[in-house]
Parts: sequence; C-alpha cells; structure tokens
Amino acid sequence: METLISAGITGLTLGTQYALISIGFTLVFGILGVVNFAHGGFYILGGYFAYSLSHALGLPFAVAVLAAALVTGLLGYLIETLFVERFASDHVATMLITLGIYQIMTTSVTVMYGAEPVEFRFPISGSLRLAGMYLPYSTLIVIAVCTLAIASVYWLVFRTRYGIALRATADDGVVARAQGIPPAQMFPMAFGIATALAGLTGALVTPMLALEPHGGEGVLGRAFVIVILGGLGSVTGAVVAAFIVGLVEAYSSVYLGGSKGALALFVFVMLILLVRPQGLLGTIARKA
Amino acid sequence: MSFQDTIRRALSALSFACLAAGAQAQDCEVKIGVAGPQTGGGSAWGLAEKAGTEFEAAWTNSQGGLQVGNRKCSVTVVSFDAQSTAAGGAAASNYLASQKVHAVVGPIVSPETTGFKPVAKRNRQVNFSSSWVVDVISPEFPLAFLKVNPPQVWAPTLVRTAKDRFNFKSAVVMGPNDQGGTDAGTVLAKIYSDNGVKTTTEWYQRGTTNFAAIVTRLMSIAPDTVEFAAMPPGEAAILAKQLLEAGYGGAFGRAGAGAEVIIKNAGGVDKLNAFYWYDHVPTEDPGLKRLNADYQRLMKAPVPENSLVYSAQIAAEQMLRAIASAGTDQDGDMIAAALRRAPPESRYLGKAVWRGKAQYGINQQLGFPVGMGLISNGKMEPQRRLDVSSE
Repeated sequence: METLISAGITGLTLGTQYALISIGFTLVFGILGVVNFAHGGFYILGGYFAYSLSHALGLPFAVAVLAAALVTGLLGYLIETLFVERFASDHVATMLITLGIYQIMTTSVTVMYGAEPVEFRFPISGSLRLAGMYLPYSTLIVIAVCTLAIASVYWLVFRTRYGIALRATADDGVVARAQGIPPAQMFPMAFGIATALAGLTGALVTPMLALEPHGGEGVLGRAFVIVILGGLGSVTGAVVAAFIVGLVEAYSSVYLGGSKGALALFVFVMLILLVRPQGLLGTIARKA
Repeated sequence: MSFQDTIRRALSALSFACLAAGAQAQDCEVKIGVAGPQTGGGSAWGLAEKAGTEFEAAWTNSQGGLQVGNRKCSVTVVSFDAQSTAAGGAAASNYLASQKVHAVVGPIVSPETTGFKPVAKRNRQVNFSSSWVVDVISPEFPLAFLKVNPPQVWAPTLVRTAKDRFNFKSAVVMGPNDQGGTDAGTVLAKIYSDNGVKTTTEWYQRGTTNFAAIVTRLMSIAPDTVEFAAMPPGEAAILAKQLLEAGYGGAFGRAGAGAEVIIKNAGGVDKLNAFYWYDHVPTEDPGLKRLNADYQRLMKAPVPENSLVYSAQIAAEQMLRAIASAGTDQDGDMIAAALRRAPPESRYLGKAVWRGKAQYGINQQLGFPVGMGLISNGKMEPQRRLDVSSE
C-alpha cells in the first residue's frame, strides 16, 4: 500500500515538472509553428545560470532561480528576434536553426564547466516521512513553485489581453494580423516566456538530479512525447498529458521495472494516438 | 680570420644544424586516433580518453618526437565522437581511415565497440577498446586489443572485500537496457551471486535523467547495496543523489570508473555511509602522481577526474612504442605484431602483462594493476592496489 501511494506521489511530482517544461514547448509550436529543438538547452542553461549565480556570486538560491528564469527568457527573446523570426514559416529551417543553437549551448557549457556534472545542490535536504512513505522537502518545494508557475501561465494565456492576442495568433495568424495584433511583438515574447519556463524548470530541478551539459536531451524527448500526446499547441493538453505521463511512468516503473516501464509508457501513448491522432486536446490541423 | 669571426661562423653552423634537425622532426608525422563518446551521457569517459591520448602525444613531441626508422616524427591526434552508438563506432573507423589513421585508442562503450570492430577489420586498424562487452577481443579480430581489465579479473576480490567490510547480503545491479549495460551488469550480478549475495538486476532506459520512479521501486526492494557499475557516470550520479535524498541507508558500489562523479553529485565524501569502487588504475600510485605533474606542466590544465585518462595514456604509450618498433603508422598488422612482441610497460606504472587467453581466446588485454576505493561512515580510506597476474 505504501508503495502504491509513493508511486502516485512520484507520478504527480514528475507530472508537475513535465508540465512546466512542456507548456513552453507547446506554446512555441502553437503560436510560431516552430518545433524548438533548443528547448532542452534552455533547461540546462537555466541550471547553469542558477549554479553560477548561487555559487560564484553567492546569491540566495531563490534569487538565483528567478534570475536564471529571467536570463533564459531574455536569451530566448533575443534568439527568436535574431535567428528564428525571419524563418518562422519554414519548418525545416527553424528545426535546423534550433538544433544548431542547442549544439552551441551544450558545447559552450562543456567548454566552460566541463563534461562531468557540477556540484549543485538544493539548499534544503531531508525527507518528510509519513507511514513508511518518503517525500523529499526539495520535491515539495519544486511542486509548489511549478504549480504556481503553471497557474501564472494560465492566468497570462487565458485572463489577459496579451494572452487573448497570443491565442488569436495561434488560432489564425492572418485574421489576428487583420485585427491589429503585430506578430513581430507576439512571437519573440512567446518564445521568451517559453524559454523562461524551461530555464526555471532547469534551475529548480537540476540541483535535485544532476547538472551536466547533455541533461537537456532526455528532457526534450519527454517534452516531445507529452506535447504530442496532449495535442501540439494545446497548453491544457500539455498539462493533462504531463500528469498522465508522470503517473504512467511512475506506476509502470515501480511495478514493472525501469526498462519495461519505459516500454509500457510508449505503448500507452501509441494506443492513445491510434484513437486520437491529433492528441488528447489537439485540433486536426494547425491554422496559424 | 679573426677569433670573433670563427666564433660567429661556428654559432651560425650550430644554428643551421639545429634548424635542420628541427625540420627533420617536422617532416614526418605519426597519427593516432581517438574514438569515444565526446558528447552525451558518456562524454566524461570520451573526453578523459582524448585528454590521455593527447597528453601522450604532447609528451612524445616534447621529447623531440617519435623515432620511426631513421626519422623523428611529430605525433598528432585525430579524434572522432562515436556518440556511444554502434553507428558512431562504425563511422569513427571510416572517418579515421579517411584521415590515414591506423592506430586508434578507443572506442569506449560496448555499442561503439560492436560497430567499430568489423569496419576496423576491413580498414586494417589496430585499436585499444575499454568495453566490457563479452567479445571485445577475440581471435577473429586480431587487430583488436583491450586496455582495461574486465570485471572477471578484479571484481571477485572487490566484491568479497566490500562484502566483508559492509556485511551486505542482498544487492541490486543497475544498468541501461542495452548491450553496454546488460553485458557488464549480468557479469557483475553473477560475481555478486558467486560471493553469496542475493542479487537481482534492474534495467532502465539509457538517457534517463530522473530516477524518481526507479528510486521508489528500489526503496520497496530495500537492497543492502546498489551496484552502479554498468551505468554511465552521469546517470549513476543522479540515481545515487536521489536514493540518498529518499533516505536510502545501504551501501553503493561502483565496480567501474567514475566514482568521483558520484561522490561529487552526492554532496561529498561525508554524505556517503558506505561506498566502494574500482579504478582502472591505482590512481594514488606515486607513478601516477608524476603523470599528473607532467600532464599539468605540458597541457596547462588540470588532469580530468575520470581515471580513463590514465588508461588512455598507457594505451597510447604502447601504441606509439609499437609504431616505432614497426617503423610505420600505416600498417595495422605490423603495429599489432609489434604490440604482441613486447611486454606492456608504462613509464609511470612499470611493467605489466598481456592476458586474455582464458577469457577471450587471445592474449591482447593489458594487465596493469587496478585500484579499489572505500568510503566508510563518511571517511575516505587509503586506496587499495589490486595486482593483476598473467594467466
């Protein structure tokens, strides 16, 4: 029974982390139509920025995390403006550009920090123990921050004029333009928000796991699965899919083992896509 | 002619002779290759191997070059990122062949080695792999050599010593669910079982960055020790950290290189209750301390933490000596023959043996001593040296 509940808690924890990283990924696709292969790179950069700020400059961890999110957001804004914007309508070109940017990011951090993980620890250690179950304090904090961040994104996308403009651009770019919504302002901002979320996740999660140059690859792979399952471009779909993937991964890994658990997850995703090829909450075809 | 003129002419002649000698050293070039994962989860291994080989080339060049026949040649290193895959291993062999490289330090991980071997056989390339795949060397591939001792050589002693020390009765051997993980993991599981430890294996998908679910499973199994040997260092470091965070109180084993990454990611020596590990070489040996000093002097950089740097240097040293003896770097068969003729010797660790006949059917495995490290109750103990005998 304890294992059953522990697996459920693990699944929900994974779900919140996956949701935060996947929202940004799906947001960029939904609004720009760009599959951002550099998304995992921003996750890693967030970790390295937080590490540098907290270790080299001695900033408190919370400040370092917020600053890392801000810096990765600004970097994303610049990269979109300088490199992605002019090729936004060319899917292959943007894939290659973002893939190249990812390579530059990982190589740069390898040169600066080395290939091995750096010593980056969460400032709070220990676990909450209840009836034979354990819940690390760091995990509780990450769940709280991720939930707050997800709620903020929802508020931004569904409750503000800027969010309405973003959704209008994603729904039909031509009509949105006719209504006076300038894509030149929408696109970099959306890209910046997405990369800030990736940076925030990296800054929060890597101290609990490990901070090394290629840690973004697995994260990108998982985000891909979640976004396809949730429906490309759907923020709500990404959140729902993130929790489904987190729970399926946790229960299958705990009861079947890591290897069969991974297989079970992909079989599950494949079965859902057979029934709903557009994903859980995706539309048949993207208009914008 | 005045005395001053005589001195001036003598100095000019001397300068000319020096320049000519220098030109002679530069007019021939010996190439050795490096193949291994330089990106991805195994990059700590690959970059350490590259660093060790480049150091050996730099050291040789600092001595005036490599004597090949009647010429002194400069040594250059050509490297290729084999990316931990079989396709990467095959591509490494072809790329290095295109650069006229016939002597290769690497590949490292098992899928790379599996992809590299048949292509390298066609390309007539001698290589020193680090893989523990079951057929890493064999009579069918006479140009393939092994630069590290496989677990069968030292793991029984390591497991027995650790078991006596930490009194564990059950173990879980972790590994990725591919050839690299399952080959090494299965061998290690058998060694634990043979030592009377109730052992199970747990496979996972290579590239996993969050082991939270697997940690929950391990906590429910509650083994006395978790063996990380078959895992890439980065992944083992994450699992160790998450297990400690979950309150796991048992021992950790790392019957493979990369323990320093685990110690660092766990938060330091004092955070570990019981940890035992293997190093490819006895890293605390005075000879290797000299290597560290030479490396820092020549490369102007700290020695990589991964002990594969030492194995790579040793392999490169054997390779260059064989090239000098064969008189060519362009004939893999002649280089391999020269390797077999001379017993292995390191200027830092001394003489060693060729072995491998009993396990692989061919005597092409370097038999240098290995090291065993121990942390008990948050205290690092002096490294133990495990000597390796000939068969």
